[in-house]
Parts: sequence; C-alpha cells; structure tokens
Amino acid sequence: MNRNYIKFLGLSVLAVFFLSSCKKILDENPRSIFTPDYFKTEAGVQGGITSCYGHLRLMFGNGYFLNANQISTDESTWGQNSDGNVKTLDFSGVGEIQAQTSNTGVLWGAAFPNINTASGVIENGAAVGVSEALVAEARFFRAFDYFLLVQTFGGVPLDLGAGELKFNTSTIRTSKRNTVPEVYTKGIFPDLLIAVDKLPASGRVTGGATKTLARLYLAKAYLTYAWWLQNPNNIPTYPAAQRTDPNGHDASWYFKEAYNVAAAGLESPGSFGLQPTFYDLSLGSNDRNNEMLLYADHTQASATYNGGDLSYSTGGFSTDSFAQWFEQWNYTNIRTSSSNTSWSAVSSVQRAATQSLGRPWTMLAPPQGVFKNTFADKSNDSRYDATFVTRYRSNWKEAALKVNNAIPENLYNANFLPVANGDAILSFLNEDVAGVDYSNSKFNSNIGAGVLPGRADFVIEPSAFSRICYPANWKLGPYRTDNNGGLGQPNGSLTRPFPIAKFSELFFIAAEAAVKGAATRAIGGTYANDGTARGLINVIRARAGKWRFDNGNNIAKVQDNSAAMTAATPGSIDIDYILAERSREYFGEGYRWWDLVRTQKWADYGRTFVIAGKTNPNDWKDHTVGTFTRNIAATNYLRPIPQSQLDALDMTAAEKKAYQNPGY
Amino acid sequence: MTELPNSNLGWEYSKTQNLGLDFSLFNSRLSGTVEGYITKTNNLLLSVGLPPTSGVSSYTGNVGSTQNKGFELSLNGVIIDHKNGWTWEAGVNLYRNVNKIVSLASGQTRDESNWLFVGHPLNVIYDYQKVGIWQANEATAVKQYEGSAGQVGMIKVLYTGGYNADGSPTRVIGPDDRQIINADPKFQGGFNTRVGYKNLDLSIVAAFQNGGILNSTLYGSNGYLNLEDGRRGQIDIDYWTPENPGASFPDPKGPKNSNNPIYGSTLGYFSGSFLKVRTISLGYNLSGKWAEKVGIKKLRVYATAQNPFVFFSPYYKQSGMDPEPNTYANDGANMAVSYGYGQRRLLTVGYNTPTTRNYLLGVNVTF
Repeated sequence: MNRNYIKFLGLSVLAVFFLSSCKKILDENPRSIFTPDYFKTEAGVQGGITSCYGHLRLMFGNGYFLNANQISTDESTWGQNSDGNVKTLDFSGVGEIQAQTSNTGVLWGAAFPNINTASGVIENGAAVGVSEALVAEARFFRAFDYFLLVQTFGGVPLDLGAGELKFNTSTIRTSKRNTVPEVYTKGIFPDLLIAVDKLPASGRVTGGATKTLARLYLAKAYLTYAWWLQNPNNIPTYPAAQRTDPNGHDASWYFKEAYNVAAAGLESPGSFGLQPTFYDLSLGSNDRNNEMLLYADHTQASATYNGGDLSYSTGGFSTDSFAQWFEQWNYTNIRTSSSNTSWSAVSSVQRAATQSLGRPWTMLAPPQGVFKNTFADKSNDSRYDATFVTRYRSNWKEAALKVNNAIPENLYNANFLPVANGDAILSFLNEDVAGVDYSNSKFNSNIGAGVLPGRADFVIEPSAFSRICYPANWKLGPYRTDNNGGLGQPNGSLTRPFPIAKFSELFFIAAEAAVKGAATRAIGGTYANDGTARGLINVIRARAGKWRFDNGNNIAKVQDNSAAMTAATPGSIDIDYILAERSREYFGEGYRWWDLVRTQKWADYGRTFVIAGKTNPNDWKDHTVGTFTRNIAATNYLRPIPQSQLDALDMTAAEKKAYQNPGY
Repeated sequence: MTELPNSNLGWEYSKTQNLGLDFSLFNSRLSGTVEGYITKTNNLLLSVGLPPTSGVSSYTGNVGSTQNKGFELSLNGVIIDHKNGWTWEAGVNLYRNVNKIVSLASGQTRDESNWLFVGHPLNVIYDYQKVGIWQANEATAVKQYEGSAGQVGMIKVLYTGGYNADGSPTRVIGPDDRQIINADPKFQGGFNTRVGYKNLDLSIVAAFQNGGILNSTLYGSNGYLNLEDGRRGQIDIDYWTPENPGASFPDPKGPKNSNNPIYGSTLGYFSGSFLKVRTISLGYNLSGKWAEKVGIKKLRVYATAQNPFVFFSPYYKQSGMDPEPNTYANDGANMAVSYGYGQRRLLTVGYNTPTTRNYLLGVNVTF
C-alpha cells in the first residue's frame, strides 16, 4: 500500500514538472536602486535634472547650513538654545572648530553626489536626445556646486574617480584636490558660459534655471575669483597656488567681466525684475515671484514632495526646511493676564504656523549692532520692518484658549490695559527710551520684558536684545493655507520655497565690481541708471524706500521715500557701504559669511559684538550688556574638510594630513 | 545614485576545518561533544561606504577575507535517573569564537570610515576610549588636552599622542586618538537542567556571555535620551558634580557636541557580560482514571516564566533592561541619529521593543 502511494506521488510530481509550463520566471524590475545605465535613458536624464533641484534642499533650508553661513559674522551669534556645534562656529570661545563635528560639512556631503549626477546628465544627455537647454541646467548646477565648494573649502577635486568632470562609476577611494584657479577656470566658468548661452530667458518651470540666473552666478564667480587673485588682505589659499590666472588674465579683467555680465543681466532680465516693495518680496502669499531667480522649493500639498513632514519635523541632515527655526526665539513664554485686578497668567501668544511665528529653536541671535548700526534707518527704509518681527501679536482665539470655560474677548497685558485678539502683546522698540520698567514685579511678562506707562504692550529696547529674546527673521517664516482659523501646524517642515538667488543681487555685484575698479557704463532697460556703484545701489535703495504695508503695525501704509533714500546714499561708495547694503537687503538668509569671506572683511566685521544676557544667557531677566570678542584666524577663512571624507580615503596618513586645510 | 553596481562581484566562499569528538560515558549517563574549528572566508561580501568625493555613497563588494576560529564544548548528563521518583538532567555548553579580518581587498590595513581593521574582528567599535571624568584638581590639564572647550567634569578619553618635556601633551585630543575596541565576547554558552519528581517537573534554561561590548543607543550619542540638558526625557544616571566626583557620567553643564555631551558616544559602551535565565518552567502531569474517561490521553498544567532573571550584567545593573542587542546600527527608525552606511552590520540596543519578561500559566491537553 505504501509503495504504491509513493510511486503515485512521485509520478504526480514528475507530471507536474513536465505538464505545466515552466515559463514563468521571476522577472525583477527593482525600482528602489538606480544604477548608472539609468542615465542612458531619457527618464534617467530627466530624473537626474530633477535631483539637481532636489539637492538644493539639503543645503538651503537646512538649519545647520544656515548656521554655518550666518554665525560669527556681524549679523548673527549663537542663540540661547544653541547646541555645542552651533556655538563652536561662532569663534567666541565656546570650542574650536573641528573637522569631525563641524556643521560646515553639510555642503561637502550634499554637493559631490549632485556634481556626479550632473556629470552623468551632461555626458549622456545629448546621446539620449534631451535638449541642450536641459543639459545646460545640469551644467549650471555643477558649476553652482563647485562655486559653493571653492568659496568654502578652497580647491576641491575635479576628478571624482573617472577623470576631470566625468561621471564617476568607479569605486576608487583616493582623491586629489585641484587648486582654486583650476576649479574656477575648468569647473565653473566653462559650464556657466554654456549655461548663459543655452538656458532660456524664462524658466522651463517656475523656478527653473534661466539665463539670468546663470549670468548672476557667472558674474559672482568672476567677482569672487577677482578678489582671490588680488588678495588684498593676504588670506591664505589651499592647495598652494600662485595668484595668477591660468587663462592669463588679471584681477581687474575679472572685475570688468563681472561688471559686464551683471550689466547684461540687468538689461535683459527676461521674466525677472524687482518686486514693487521689499515687503512683497518675502511675503508668504507672494512666493515664487519674479524677483526670485532660484529657490529650494517645497510644497504644502504632500509630505513626500515637500521632502519633510507637514506636521512634525525633526529637522536633521535631510531635505527638511527648518532653517527659520534657528532665527526665532521662544515667544511662547510670554504671559498675559486674564484678570485686570490681579495677575493671572495665561499664554497669549502661542506657537502658530504664521509668518511671524513658527517653531522657535533660538539658535541664531542678532547682535545689537544690527539694530543700531545696520538698520539705523527704520522709518524711510522699509527693509527693517519687512525683515524683522517687531511685534508679537496675540492669537489666543486661534488657540481656543479658555478662561472660566469661555474664550475671553479681552485679556489684560501691561498696566492691566485690555488687549484684543490680534493686538500686539510685545513690541521690540526702534530705539532705546527712558523709563522702561523691567522689574516684572506687577505685570509679569515671564520673559523679562519691560513696561512703559500708558502702553498695553510689553516693550524691549534694542539695548536689551539678548540671545534669548530678539526680533525674529520675518522673511523666512512659515506660510500655510491650511490653518483653518486655528494655529495650524507650526512644528512641520516649512513648506515655502527657501530663497537662494534674487534678481536684486545683480545690482550688488555690478556695484562691487565698479568699486573695485571696473569701468562702468550707463545701463538701459527697465532699471536704467548711470551704471556707477552709487547709481546701481540707488535702484535698490529707491525700491527699499517704497512702503505698501506696515508689517510691524499690521496695517496698510502707502509711502514713497525713494527720494529721501537715494539722497541719503553717500557720494562715493566703498566696499563697507556695499556690505552694509547687502546686510540690509539679505539679512539672515545665509549670504553673510560668504560676503565677508569674499571681501576678506570677516575678521574685521566679526571681531567684536554686543549683546545682552552677558551674565546668564538663559535668564530672561538678564539685560546686562556684554561685549564679546571672536578669535578668527586667517586660516579659518577655509573651512575644515570633514573628517568623514578623510576617514573614507584610502591614502596614507601623511597624504590625508596634506588633504586637510592648514590649521585643522 | 546611491549604490554603484559592481561588475566584479563574485561569490563569497568559506573553507572550514573542523575537528570534533562526540563521547558518551557511563552507560550514556554522561555525553558530550568537544569541537574545534577554523573557517576561512574569502571574498567576503560587505557593503562599503565611499568617500563623499566619489559622488556615490556606497557599493557592495568582495572586500576581504576573514577567519573564524573557535571551539565548542557541550556536556549533558543524567545525574539522577528515576531513583525514588526523582530524575535530574543537566547540560551545559560553552563556545568561543574568535573572528578576525585577515586582509582587505583594497590592500589597506585600516578602513576608518567602514570600521574594517586587519587583525581585528568585524565587530569593533572605533571610537575614543573613556578613561574617567576630569576631576576638579585637573583644571589646567583639561585645557591642555581639550583646548578651550575643556572643562572639569567632562569625559576624559585616552590620549595617545606625545608629551613635551614638562609633561604636557603636544597636541589636543583629536581623531588620531580613536581606538579600535574589539566588541566580540570572550565566550558564550548556556545551561539547561530538568528536575522531575514523579509527576512534577521543573526545567531551567539559561544563557550566558562573558565579555564583549554592548552598544546602547539609549545612553550614547545616537539617541536623545542622554542629552544631560534637563530632567525631562532624560535617562536616570549618576552624573558628576563637584560634590559627587565619583560618578561615571559627565557634568551636565559640560561642553556639547551637537546636543549630546562631547564624547557622549563612550557612555553607550557597556560590558556585554550577562547570565540570563531564559525560562523557568514548572509543570505537573495529571493522570488518572477520570482523565481517561473523558478521553484525555495527557494533561499537563504548567507555569512558565520567560526571561525572569538577569545576573552579572553591568548594563542590567545600570538600566534595568535586557543586555542583548535588538537593532542594526544604521536603523534610523530605532535610534535618533543612525550610524553611517559602513557600520550597518553592527548590532546595538535601539528604541524598539526589548525582550519582554513573560509569565505564563497553561494547560496542555492531548485527546
């Protein structure tokens, strides 16, 4: 019985094998891994270009990248809640900048994979049949990354393992750094020149690379390279190189070229231009306007395409946009009273997803010099009002705050004066005034703010701006259309595009080149001016003098102070004036460290700064003003090569030491 | 592009030499095995990270050859064999494996970014080595070793550089002072025993390990539970203050690397020794005519405790938690800051579910 059973079973098994068709072989098409031959398809090339835009998010919008480019300048110092690495980059005595811990490595890690992708697109694009304009976008991004790298680290490798500017698929683990002039003349200028030629005048998509954008970066690269060739303050470079140009030109030639390219960009702006007011430029509902040449885009529509969670983001080394959190302080500590007879504290200003508020990480604080010197003109110049949050307004109704089981109509603030929802609870004053009472004995703001007689809002004078309490950067704040009358989702990744390049910068580049001796000429077109540094800066200042909306007072204000602004411009412009104007125009957006390093003024401008909270920065009530000094050496103008790069190299210890920048 | 294809990828193959002895003595009352082996693996397949300047992050390759040498002992005995209703059996096993990387395909002897070091096991930790906490009387010394960030109360790590004539170090502590620390255990094993008296039986199964390093992300810098910046969300530790100088965790006011204390990763390395009782099971076999009437062939009632005790474990003593790893090192879902691609083979204690302690009461019925 058993034997037959087995025989039968055996036969059936054999039958199954022979009778059924064995043609169904698992045919795999994995989608999570991309291999180099994907770039030989059209989908691959287009995917590569999209990732070029995507990689911008790893840097612009990343708080640590903003930290590296803002701190230790006259614009920013560390805020009260900073972590150790943030503070170290301030060079003000908390620790030494090191290869293994520094946030300056964000750029190094983000740029090279993108450079390789761009090279892959460039090599395969023509064969696949993709248009030249599209390949030019990849060229733009490759040059863009090399430009950021060379400004930050000095000379960097052009050969990733398969040859200079070639797409690398080898697993070689050695690397050789080219010199600064090699990177500029081989890795930056040629690609940008092609990009200027082939890119369209208007973006293929909103925010796509254009001729004007390429001109901006070409002019800026010429300008930066010219400064490097001239080297007026003797800042060292690495790897060692003579200050001569392999193409045989000198610094003045590059200043002239910078001017010419910028002027061409101003005269043929394509679809770009200046926004009517500075307020409109950074207003959340006006994002992706015609002054924005390039931004790291995000969206509220989907967390996947946003690159960050819409309701709770952890802000790390990824595509999240959370840089604005660094420049916001913890306003949620403000307290107002629910009773006008005895102080019963309630939270009147709560975390909300609005442009003035957002999530407070308090990691970058502006020193007092910003408010007293850079933004000395707060009335004619609309830029102070449209850069900073000077009033913190109550939002208890949106928060559904209840007192005695009902949402109150009024709360009582300083002097027990009534405030309505949306009124200013705290004001950062324009200048110091006499008679401010910071005791908080009767009206306890909980943030050490002051009281003036007759005013319902708490006040803080500029001399009391500290690391823990200061006007935040309004320009980068969150903007959502899904708050639905509530507080919204302030802890989510920011969904606004993070600004990288603006049309206005063409004026600054041309003006800086003019100050450095480039021959000027009258500039025609929409922004016609005499082309001198003063003429160019005055176009910016004239625009800055135009008011449409008073951000601080939250009320319409139509005023045109252009004439006063342009009259106040000094007769002869120098580099210091241009740097001051740049600070007024681009405060807190991550331009400052690069501007100061290019003009070799970083040690000068960063040397000392003044901020309150001298004794205990964690104490809201500590308004003692301290003057702090920074210790910036000439070798610090180049950031350290990240330790992770050195560890991963298959080179001798001596070669690795030579790979690292001097002083680290 | 995240991972490069490797057209040179080949099979990994191993050669083993094994010598063993199985024995049984005293009429099978005592039996055991003794075994020794050497396994040489060539063309080891491993994910390797590339430097950022390659433009690609990693590839899988035949990165080298390793060797595993070891021995296994096991002994099983019937100590009491149905005498007066008693039976007692016991068994113990002990094993030791020594793993070593013999060579790397690239010809390097040290690959610092992937933590592959010739002559050391695959399971290593490449980090600073904590030797104590800087005490109050070392205020000048700490500035010499750590630069301006140095503060009394911070973690003191091993310095391997040179010294000047006056005894001060020639440089500050830096990446060159990282040590290769072998994380494999010295030996492991287990024992089991079963005692029975008539219908009652008790069995215990236990496992033990001596040596090795347990990398706990709960205490180290890959997590946010030991930031020492406040009481909320902070794991319970004994930290240094001037009045409490003998503590092993640093001063909360000390300098930080990002949000964690500097060298905070060294706080996560614990000795991996432990003796765990895995199960204790007490059972009673019911029998009798009434059972047969109902048609029950066998009925057993039992109570089992799973993972009831942990002994001899410094990690258990510190944290009260299970001393065995439960996560891969670059699992970002189970730690706040995951390790890099080159360390993904390593094991850590992460946030995910630890081994649970279970108490079971049960009935086994066979019809």
